[in-house]
Amino acid sequence: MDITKKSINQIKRPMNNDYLEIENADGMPGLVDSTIALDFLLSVKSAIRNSAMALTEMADQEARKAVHSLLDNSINLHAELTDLMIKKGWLHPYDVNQQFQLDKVSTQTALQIASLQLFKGDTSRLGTFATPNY
Amino acid sequence: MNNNRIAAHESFELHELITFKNVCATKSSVMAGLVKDEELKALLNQELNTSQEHIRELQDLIQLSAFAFEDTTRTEDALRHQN
Repeated sequence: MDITKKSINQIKRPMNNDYLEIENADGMPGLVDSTIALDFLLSVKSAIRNSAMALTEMADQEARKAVHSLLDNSINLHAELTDLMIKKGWLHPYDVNQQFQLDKVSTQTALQIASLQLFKGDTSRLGTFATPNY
Repeated sequence: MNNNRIAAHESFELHELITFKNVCATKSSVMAGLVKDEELKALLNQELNTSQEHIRELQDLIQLSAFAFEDTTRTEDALRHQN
């Protein structure tokens, strides 16, 4: 079974607390990669907005050049990342219906992860180390 | 003292960009380790390298700001009080 090739919208089974079980971890690498890619895309988008806003405040020639190159780089990176995500099926800009289906699956997954009990019991680190000041 | 190179409004924007880029670089380096997809990993590493260059560039610029020349003994005092 090639789990890395599984597309994110194929994951329909509810999340299980026993995520170390191979069966429950089905499609996990694709899920992680697509989520990280989406987070990366949001960062790049913010970088473009932030640097464009900053550029409007620049008066010094050298500062303007620096921020301009940052903006240029961000735009190029955005193009590369968008292409990659479209190729991998993590983003569907030309098919709104499919994008909404993907959003629906992502929402369900996010809610399922949120309801998982990831940390069992007390997570306080007090007492684990010598902490004389507490 | 060449403290009129970078004006206040430029300094603030540069500061915002530096903090943002710091978070971006940190996140890219962590995420590159978590990602399985090779192309995405390469893209994250590329972003990490360019981010570092940009941070250095912005840091050099913000050193020219009027605020960078302010009395630094105050922060040294604050550090001494902490110890």
